[in-house]
Amino acid sequence: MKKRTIAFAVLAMFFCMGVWATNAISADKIKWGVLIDLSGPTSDWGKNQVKGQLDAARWVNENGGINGKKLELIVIDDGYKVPRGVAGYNRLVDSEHVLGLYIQSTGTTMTLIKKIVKDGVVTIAASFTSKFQNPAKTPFSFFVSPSYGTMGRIAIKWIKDSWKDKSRNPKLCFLYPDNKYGRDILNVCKDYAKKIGVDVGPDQVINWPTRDATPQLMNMKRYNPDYAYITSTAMNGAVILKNAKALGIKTKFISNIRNFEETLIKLSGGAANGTYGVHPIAPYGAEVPGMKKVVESNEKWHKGEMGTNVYVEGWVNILAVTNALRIADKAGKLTPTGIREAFEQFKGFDTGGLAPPLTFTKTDHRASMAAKIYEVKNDKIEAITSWIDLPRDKTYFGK
Amino acid sequence: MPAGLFHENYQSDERVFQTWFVKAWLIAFLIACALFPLMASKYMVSIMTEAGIAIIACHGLNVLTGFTGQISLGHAAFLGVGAYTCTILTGKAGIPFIVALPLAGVMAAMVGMIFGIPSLRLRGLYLAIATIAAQFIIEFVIRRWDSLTGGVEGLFVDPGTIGPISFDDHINLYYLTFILAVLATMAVKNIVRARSGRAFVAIRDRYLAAEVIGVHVFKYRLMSFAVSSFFAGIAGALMAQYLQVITHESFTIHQSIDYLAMCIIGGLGHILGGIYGVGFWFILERFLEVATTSLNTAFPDHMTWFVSIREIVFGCVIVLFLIFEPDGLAARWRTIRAYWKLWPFSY
Repeated sequence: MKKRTIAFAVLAMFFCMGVWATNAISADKIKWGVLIDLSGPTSDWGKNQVKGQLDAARWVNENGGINGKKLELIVIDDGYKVPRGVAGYNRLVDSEHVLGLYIQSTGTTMTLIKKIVKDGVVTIAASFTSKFQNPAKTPFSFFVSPSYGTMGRIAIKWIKDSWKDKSRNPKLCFLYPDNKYGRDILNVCKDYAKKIGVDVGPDQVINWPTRDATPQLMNMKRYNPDYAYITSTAMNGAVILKNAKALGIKTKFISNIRNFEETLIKLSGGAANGTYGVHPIAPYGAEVPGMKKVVESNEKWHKGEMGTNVYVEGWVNILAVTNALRIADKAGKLTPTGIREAFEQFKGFDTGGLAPPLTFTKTDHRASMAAKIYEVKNDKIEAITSWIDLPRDKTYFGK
Repeated sequence: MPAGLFHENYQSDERVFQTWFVKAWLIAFLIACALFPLMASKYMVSIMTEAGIAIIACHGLNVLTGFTGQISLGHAAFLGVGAYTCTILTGKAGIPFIVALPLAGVMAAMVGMIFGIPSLRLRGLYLAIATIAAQFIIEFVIRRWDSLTGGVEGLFVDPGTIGPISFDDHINLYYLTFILAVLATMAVKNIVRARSGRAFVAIRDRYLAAEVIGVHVFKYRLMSFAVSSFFAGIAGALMAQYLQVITHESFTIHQSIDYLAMCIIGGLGHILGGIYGVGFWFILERFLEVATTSLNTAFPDHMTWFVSIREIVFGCVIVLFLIFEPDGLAARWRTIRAYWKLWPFSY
């Protein structure tokens, strides 16, 4: 009994020392929060994303930091659950006093949206819904990609532009889960498809976790669309592609950004070959100037682990945040408002080709309007178009 | 002076506070809770508010599962009913918050009774499956009844007000939750002490015998569902105030299972079980939070190793409690107290 007590006391002491040691060093540090799913249904994605962000932060710190200050990421796992996300947000903002944070889950971001405005904390969202792009409504929300709706429109534009048969319009179906994320693009994309002459067939709702999409695919086959646009995640989207291959469906599948990543190719076991994806972020290992440090870091710090475009996206997020923090620091305004103003000075900020140049203004938080269409060939992601750019007009702004 | 606690009639046996000592401690505890927001950080106050909401929800689940023996895996859905009822009543119908709050409980109780009807025929695992159905049906309705619930977009919650007090301020919300949690504890204690409570326990322990001695099994089972859901509804209304936006994702089956786990840890069938369970759960959660954050900061390369600690520890805790402490912390506390009462002359 006594031995056990002593052992417990020693362990407790070590733990306390650990806590003390991590809290002690805090001078010249900039705290940034990361609220992400590392144990829930989207954890495969979250782990790659957080890996990219941490590596990028490490690289930034090894290369001068934020004007000499260290960037410290405080990562909290929310398990993709809203109440835990809210608790994590409260902890980051009220207890850790971060200057800003990254929030992954759409549900958590939507729940917190009023609070974020009230607290005045800069947030980088992983949820690329255009509802966060209008600064009149969400002045502190930013993200580094075109919105889901814009990417959907880019895919539809590509369908129309590459369509050869002049006797009829191309036919398109939307496949999505019945949640906020899944339904986000529907109104905008259907309206746009109608405008440019792409016929839209019946929606197919494929919920998470997807175990079998055969009934929905059979249903879709009756309409026999030329293209199907998948809004999903790699884990769930792989099931759709596998089922489609088994059923011998001829429709060409276009995956959205959250579905189209290297993991999809791995999980679908070859069924992803010949399918398309619309994506603004360069795939891992692409020949762009900014990729060198990304690949080097991954190989140095995670030997033998697969790099993905989610990992690259993590880098883009941190590079954008770093740039904003540098501007704010230089202006001597290292406060949430100062960081917001710093973001709004972005004018074609170049991440070395990892993402299209980022631009934010006081009235428009649309980072960019461009993406490329990729095809999976021999289990590799290859770009088949150059940047497809949409005009920065107000038609679908904030919708 | 008697050296111990002796009861000479049933009335004294059933007294809420058996000794002045208990009463004094309880009052000290309540005063500490009341003064808490003055000393604690904003973050701690929000954590305590969450804990208070969980206590109300757990009391409800404890009545149903702990005292009546009906397993429910749909408790969070009833919280959802309460949350949406309160929000819609205050936001769309313009009913004052103080009226909408109890109505949220009533609405949840009615929905709970509907899903309680199968309990006439179903027991044990089968009933558990039926309550899972409640969870999914309610979630589906919330998701699809766009015109009322806002569908997948969710609803913004107008901060409730009682007179000049607005619950936009989280300290006010803390006090509201605190008062309601105390009321809920008193209510459960009194329900359990009364005829209905004895009927619940009889049904749990041997429903056939209960029926033979004249307990209307169906009536009391339904009543148990109603009481349980009423508490869930109130907790849900508070949760809506706390979250400020509610979506179907706020009330998932994971939440239901968490509440059940809290009750198991605290002690099913003990009034204080809900409180101990919630306390243990939140303390463990904060502890793991600090532990994983410091480990992550110390070893950022191996972050993915530590993130699952929470899930693993919680899983282990529930399994260990089921094996070594099936009656939960409440029973353990009783044993400890009994030991110290007679210490050092325990014979």
